[in-house]
Amino acid sequence: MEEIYAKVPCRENQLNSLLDLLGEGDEPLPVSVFISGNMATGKSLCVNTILEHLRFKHVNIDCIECYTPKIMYEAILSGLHDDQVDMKCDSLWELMNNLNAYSTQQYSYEPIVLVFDRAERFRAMDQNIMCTFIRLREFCNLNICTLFVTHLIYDSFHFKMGVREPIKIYFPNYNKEELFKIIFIHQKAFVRHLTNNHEVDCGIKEDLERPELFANFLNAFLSVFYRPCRDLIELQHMARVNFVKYCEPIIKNEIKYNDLSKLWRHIAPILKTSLELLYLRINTSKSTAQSPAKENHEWIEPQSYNFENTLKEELLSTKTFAQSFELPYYAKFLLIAAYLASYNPPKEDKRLFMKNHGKQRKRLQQVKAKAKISEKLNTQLGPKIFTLDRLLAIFYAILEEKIGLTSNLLAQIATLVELKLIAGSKEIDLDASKYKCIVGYDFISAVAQTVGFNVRKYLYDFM
Amino acid sequence: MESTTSVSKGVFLFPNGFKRTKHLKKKSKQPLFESIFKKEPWYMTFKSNWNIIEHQLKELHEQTYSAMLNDVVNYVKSFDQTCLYDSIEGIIPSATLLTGVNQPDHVNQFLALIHKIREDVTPHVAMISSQDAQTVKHMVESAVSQLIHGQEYLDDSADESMIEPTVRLKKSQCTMRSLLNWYQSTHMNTSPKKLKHAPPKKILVIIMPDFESFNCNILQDFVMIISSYISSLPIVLIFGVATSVSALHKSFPYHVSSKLLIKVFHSHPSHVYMNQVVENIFLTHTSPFHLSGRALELLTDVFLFYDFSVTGLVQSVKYCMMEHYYGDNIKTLCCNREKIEETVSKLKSDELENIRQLLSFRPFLEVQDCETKIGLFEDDNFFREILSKEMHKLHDYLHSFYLCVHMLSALVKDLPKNLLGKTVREIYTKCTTEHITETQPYRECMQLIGFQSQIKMAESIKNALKEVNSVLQTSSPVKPLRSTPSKTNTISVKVSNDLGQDFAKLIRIHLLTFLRQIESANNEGLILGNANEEQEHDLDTDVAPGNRYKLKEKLLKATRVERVQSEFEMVRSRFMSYLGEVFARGLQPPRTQTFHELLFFSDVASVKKQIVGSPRGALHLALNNPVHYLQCSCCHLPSPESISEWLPDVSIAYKLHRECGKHINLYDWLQAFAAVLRPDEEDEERFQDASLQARFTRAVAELQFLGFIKSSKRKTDHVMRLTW
Amino acid sequence: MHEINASQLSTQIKLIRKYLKLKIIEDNITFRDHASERKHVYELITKAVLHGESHSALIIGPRGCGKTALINSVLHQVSKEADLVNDAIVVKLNGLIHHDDKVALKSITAQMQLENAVGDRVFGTFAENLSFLLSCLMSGTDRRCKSMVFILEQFDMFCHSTRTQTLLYNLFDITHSKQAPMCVLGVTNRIDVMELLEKRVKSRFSHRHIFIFPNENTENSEVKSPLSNCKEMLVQCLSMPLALGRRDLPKKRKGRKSIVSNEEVMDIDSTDSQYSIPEQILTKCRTDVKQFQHLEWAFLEDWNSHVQSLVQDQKLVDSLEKLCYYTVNEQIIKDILFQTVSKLSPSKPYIDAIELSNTIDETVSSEQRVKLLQSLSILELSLVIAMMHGIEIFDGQPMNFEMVLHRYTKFANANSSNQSVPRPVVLKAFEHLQQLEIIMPSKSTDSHTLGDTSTSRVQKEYKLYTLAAPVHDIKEAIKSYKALPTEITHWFNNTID
Repeated sequence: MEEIYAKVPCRENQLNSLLDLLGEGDEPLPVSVFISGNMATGKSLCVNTILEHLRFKHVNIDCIECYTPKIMYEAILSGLHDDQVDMKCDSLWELMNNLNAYSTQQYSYEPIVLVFDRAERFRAMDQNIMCTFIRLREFCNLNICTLFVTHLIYDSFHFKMGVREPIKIYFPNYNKEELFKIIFIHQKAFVRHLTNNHEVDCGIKEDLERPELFANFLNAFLSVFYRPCRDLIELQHMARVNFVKYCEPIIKNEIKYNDLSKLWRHIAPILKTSLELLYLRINTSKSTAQSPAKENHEWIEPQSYNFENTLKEELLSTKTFAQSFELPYYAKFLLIAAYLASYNPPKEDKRLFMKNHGKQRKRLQQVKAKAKISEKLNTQLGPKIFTLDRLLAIFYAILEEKIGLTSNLLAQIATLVELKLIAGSKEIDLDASKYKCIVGYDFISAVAQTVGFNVRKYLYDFM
Repeated sequence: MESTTSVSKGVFLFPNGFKRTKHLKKKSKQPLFESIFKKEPWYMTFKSNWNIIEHQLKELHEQTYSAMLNDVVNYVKSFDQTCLYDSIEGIIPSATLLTGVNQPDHVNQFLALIHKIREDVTPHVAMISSQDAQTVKHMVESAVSQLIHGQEYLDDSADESMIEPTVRLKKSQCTMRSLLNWYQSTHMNTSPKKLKHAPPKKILVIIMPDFESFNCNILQDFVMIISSYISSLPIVLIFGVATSVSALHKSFPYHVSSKLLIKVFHSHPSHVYMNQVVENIFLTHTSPFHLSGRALELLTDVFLFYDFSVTGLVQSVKYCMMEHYYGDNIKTLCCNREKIEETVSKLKSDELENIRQLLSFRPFLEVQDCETKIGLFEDDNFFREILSKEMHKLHDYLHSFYLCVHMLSALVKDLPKNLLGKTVREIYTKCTTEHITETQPYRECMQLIGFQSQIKMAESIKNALKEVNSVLQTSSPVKPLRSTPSKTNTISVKVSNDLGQDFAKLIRIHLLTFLRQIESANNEGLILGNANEEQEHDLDTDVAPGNRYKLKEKLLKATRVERVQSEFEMVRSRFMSYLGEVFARGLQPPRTQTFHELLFFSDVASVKKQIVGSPRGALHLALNNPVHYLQCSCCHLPSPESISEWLPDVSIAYKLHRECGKHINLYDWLQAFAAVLRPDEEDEERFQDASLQARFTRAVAELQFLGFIKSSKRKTDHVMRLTW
Repeated sequence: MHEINASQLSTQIKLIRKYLKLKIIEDNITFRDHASERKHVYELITKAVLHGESHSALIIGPRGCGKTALINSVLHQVSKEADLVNDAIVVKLNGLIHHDDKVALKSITAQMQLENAVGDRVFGTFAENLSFLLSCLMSGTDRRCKSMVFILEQFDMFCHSTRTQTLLYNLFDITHSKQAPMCVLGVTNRIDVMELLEKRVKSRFSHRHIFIFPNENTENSEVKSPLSNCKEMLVQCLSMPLALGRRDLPKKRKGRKSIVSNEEVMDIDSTDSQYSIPEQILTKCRTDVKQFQHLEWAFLEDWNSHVQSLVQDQKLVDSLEKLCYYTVNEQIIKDILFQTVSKLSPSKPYIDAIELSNTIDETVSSEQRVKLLQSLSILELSLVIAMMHGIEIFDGQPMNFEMVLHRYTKFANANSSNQSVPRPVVLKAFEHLQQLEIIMPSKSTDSHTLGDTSTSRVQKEYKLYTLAAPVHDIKEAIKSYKALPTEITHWFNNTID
């Protein structure tokens, strides 16, 4: 009992209710249980530990990999039969037959549990399947129970009438204290991870291993990160990254481990910046350090260091991202043309791209007014589709020198589509197909800068 | 025989085509032109030369990619041991290769990667391209089947114990579970044989070369699936990303990307690679075939402006070579200099005659006295002799020319505003097109070099030296050109006898001396002594033809005594003047040389059409002036605008429709059409015969098919014009 | 009550718990009320079985009102009176599983034990196949066919199958032909099931509907209150049969076994065997009654009285009432009871009225969505609020990320106190919302059908979303959100900024 609580911290209520439901020994199981809760709230962990603890016969099925129900059925059967027999089964009916056949072999009333992880994927399949599994017990004469684990709530499974409602258990998020507790459990691991990758003399090592140090760090850390993020995994990751930074001055003997205020002043800005990397999982050299092979890590180090910044840059500002990869000259112009084509109303083209655009004054006010009242600018509504001819027309309009329409040029359009910079229907005849530019404004403006072109001047929204 | 029958079934309708299929088959083995031209000498030279180049390309390719490949492979290797992620489970180690935007170039790169991984790390590699990942099902199946059956394709050296358990699975059976079972059956059992043969844990590598073109939802599911198995299967993912890392983050929401441990590897930007290719392979005296500046410019422009495709570049160079060699044997002279004599001896008299016709032969002729001229025209053998000599001269010239080009580029590389351009190819184009030493930018560059500080100077000289050395060591141990029978006839050409190898050697020595002097120059007064004896020990190392400079130096050294303070300037000025002379001699554009046509390919116009094809242009030309393609006598036009009844119907209709506005009235069009075809008849009897209308409608239909017009809903019996 | 030592107690409780669980989950035979309907069905089946008449009927009633239980109990009873095994065949099909005709036919064959007879011969039509099956049944002596009972559960699913309703057609057709006596019972919870039938099917169906409405007791045709019904059920499910507790259990059991067959049905009210689980259920569950013989009579009496007292508890009654408003679905009630029973343990040997009512509340109003909203981080929550405002302003038209971000940044800039997060992070948070389906892509209802290329072409910044969570839920969440910054509540409350 206690070891379960130890293994799955801060989930006593859920554990208890699950244990009660599953009962013990050969007591009959509930028909089906629906377990929902946000990501990283220990749903699967709870279920698995309990099942291990009770030593029930159970089959875990990850619904994502069941792109055909066949896989699921066969997984269930091969899970029930201990000896590895791969049996064919590609319809519910056959599954039922097999289950009943299995039940005839049974003498005791032994409990069987089927766990469907990521159950939301059921909705991609035929609806009968889940309806059947919810009331599986009625169809086969077994003491069988189906557990559905998902991050969605029951209502978003839009069932039709006549579905047996399962018993629902909800897993709330960990609150701040619980998060603290859980991450604190891994304190050893953190310290090990730290000491593995940095050479520290033993005196400091002891300081580092002091739990109160880590506790202080965690307090500081959570005070910043708890607000934007509640995801345990992500928090652990960020904590791992930042703890190293937190300890660096201690390792360098600049700050004593017990000088909290100094440490706080040291870490606060770091935390603030790394808050911007939340969720982004930029592989800093720290996480390469996870790879056990030291020597490898050694010489990857410089490389990853100087790329680290660029990566960060890339992800934070698409500007540098745009400059970070090179395009052929004309391709750049094609891209710009595509952007203009998809963010300008076609009827404005004449006025925008011809030398003598007529009565612009009046328009200006209109545009201004429109921009004011609504946030429905084109740049917010997203790109419109355009035809190849229009693209080329704009291309030639914005390109200074005259060049022939060569096959290479046309090939470039295809390339841009391949690179997911332009979305287009991959049809055979280019003339018929429609395109749409799928890059952001700052990206395109950055690209335009490299060829010395002012996009803003040609955008309808900014007139 | 079975194979041939099957082929014949495919190809021939009539049963008696059997013996024919045989020789067709023989042909189909090797490309058509090869089977035709195999005998031709020009073809053989072309073939040999191209093979050389291809070989060099391969090597270059190897050594450019090897660095990154090693990185990746080592990174992958690092997960070979049981990798521990304390407290964060289900994280897939993944490498991301940032390859350039041009994906076709990367195919062999990835093949090399696979090969390397199979050699060094693990036999189980799967490569999934976006085509065979339409659904998750397909993706998983192809991945699994490749992983399981991979080592059988790999090599027969894979031990039997691996083979016999893996009975061929059907595609539908290839699920992750089956993979898991297979893996446990093959690798978890620790038979001693297995242990010594392979480490107990073999990692599985899955490569996705073209990341962008995957459907991201499928990819996400795939990643999730793998992450649920990662605890039991050591899988490593490798993404080939063409654009940038943030492509990954664009297509992965965080609950997926949190499952990945992303590590980024950058490969060279493609234009760097292109420069390498051009400089190290084509712009060397060793390469037998040379592009004129214009041609090179064209190719590089195609590269820079349109597609960053190196393969494309190489292919177009190959095309140029074909164009160069095709069909005339005198181009056999375009070979490396060992072969010159024999090729010359092989030449037939009419081919010699062709050579005599070459333009660059004229100036050479002018400077000769009459009996030489006569000899040249009458006596083939004499001409042969001269020819071979000239060819050698040409090669020497090339040698020094490229040397100078490289030196120049090395010197001007880090000048403030690059007047001559940064890369070797730019300078090369400049040098080949004009007498660069006369040009303004050149002079400015020289001035700039003149103003360089001491250290910079030393630096740039060092660079130049590097170039020279590299050239010297690359240059094949060729026999010194004195051995060429120039001494025999006294009335031979005025050989500018200090080109080629010796020239290079000479330059090296001088550069060395200058370098030493400049480096030692700064410590002013007390230099004299050691500077002197340096010079002494220079003297004996020195070879004859350098004498003048030595003298000059001596003189200057004599004067140095009183003007100690400006010693560095003096050295520098001497260096500059020296450079001036060298370049003046080295950097004459090729067209000044005799017989340069033989080695240099300059016919840009003919190639351009093929290399940058312009479909619409061609179409227009074809319709506007059919003669250009038909080559028929019937439809010659006084001017491309004019219309004659002899033209094909389509082109008539086309020409007519070009005169109309946006909307074309079919009736008027038909009338005009008829009027062209039957100028003499009256309107009404024109409309009597249906054949006209039929022809007209067909022409219109064809135009519509070609996409010039389309029927418009708005106005009845009108069509809309699509092109302008 | 009298005292027992702990070990005994624990065994007692365990046994009771198990027994009750068995009863709640497995007992699908015992059936209360609806005597007339039950009689009706009973007659139909017996006619078919005994006198070889053909019938067809639909049993219609809301979900969980005991349709299946009714049929089971009838079959159970019939099986006692006549031997179903020899002169009748019961074929059960379920719309969920057998909605495909081929599958259905296969399973029919299987349930008639005719696989070997069919072997691998092929049939032109469905009808041929079926008739062949029937002909196989002709027993040799008198050319009279075994009568068949077809029970089609989830009857509507058979109709839903986009293909023609061949199975139904043939079955009903046979009921008219004299080929074989058979009784086709459809079970469904859809009143409008008749509209789903094809014309030819409808014409062949004898329009015999048996409606089962919960909470109506028909022998004295006055509707009895759902509450009392619910109470009844509670007692029925929770109380233990005193019969088990007999001191002199073993020898008495012998006698009991002998009489059990007829006693079970007729004298329900014999106090000792009341509330007991039918024999065959136990056998089905492979549990032997003997293991319950350690139960003590006194303890059981005690228990039952406890249950009785439970029903009197006022709070519980209230919550039961609430439950009755919420649902009349017996399955749900059973689930609730199951949960309460499973909470029994030696430490707390009695059902706590409070807990029970809590469980009821839990099921009646489980505000999972609110909880989900509360589990969001503040950033995500404020995104939701931004979206809500936006939708209020542009009366309910979907928004894309750009717009939401626009609003959010406006808010964030307005009050500097919350630290600004870069765009990609916000985007990730937005994706998280979509993962939890708090926001839904406006085009396709399901998030996972986005796989098709058309939608994946669109930049995710510009994909249009609608708010899936209703506003009042968000209100609830905000109200009871722990440590929510005041400015956000403020922002939430004043709509148009």
